[in-house]
Amino acid sequence: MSKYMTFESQSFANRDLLLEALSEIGFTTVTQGTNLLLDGWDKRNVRTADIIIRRRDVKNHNLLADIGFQKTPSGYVAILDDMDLDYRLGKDFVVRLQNHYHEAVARKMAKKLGGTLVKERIGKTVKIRVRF
Amino acid sequence: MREIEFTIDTDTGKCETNIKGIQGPACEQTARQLRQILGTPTIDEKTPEFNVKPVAKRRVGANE
Repeated sequence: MSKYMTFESQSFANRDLLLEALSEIGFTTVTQGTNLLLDGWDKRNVRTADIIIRRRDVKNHNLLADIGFQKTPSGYVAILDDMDLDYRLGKDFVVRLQNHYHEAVARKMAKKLGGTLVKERIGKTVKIRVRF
Repeated sequence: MREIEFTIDTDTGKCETNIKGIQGPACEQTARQLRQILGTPTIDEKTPEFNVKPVAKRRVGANE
């Protein structure tokens, strides 16, 4: 009658929910495709991704490189420049994205199951109850 | 009341889910839906409640 699961992976399984989470942290302009070239990376270390936030589209962040998300068997994995993480986006960028992604998952499940959602914040923990 | 409880640790990004009040296959179906959008869990276990089977109680009359 009850099941418990823990999710810790820093990959994002669902494209739409990833886009929703990105939008919530301020990245609304996104380029999508397959194996698109990321700008700002060393030519000896060319990187590609399927979802890209172009640095030219978020000029206020002064990014050194595009932010990419490459599709893998376990989901979309972020490709980020170390310097951008340290000085521009914040080292907790992926964790913040995860938190918004998880909240988007709860909203999706509530809608899918025709349920109600109650969110509560206790210190650094967010508790969401979906009743249906 | 059927419920999915999400507990999100905003420091680490870890998300725990607890599905409550759903029996057997229906519980597994909900868990499968969660795995589709959350990925592969690092912990996946049935709580002791999962295997609880309803027990029919026999009413004992006053004259038995």
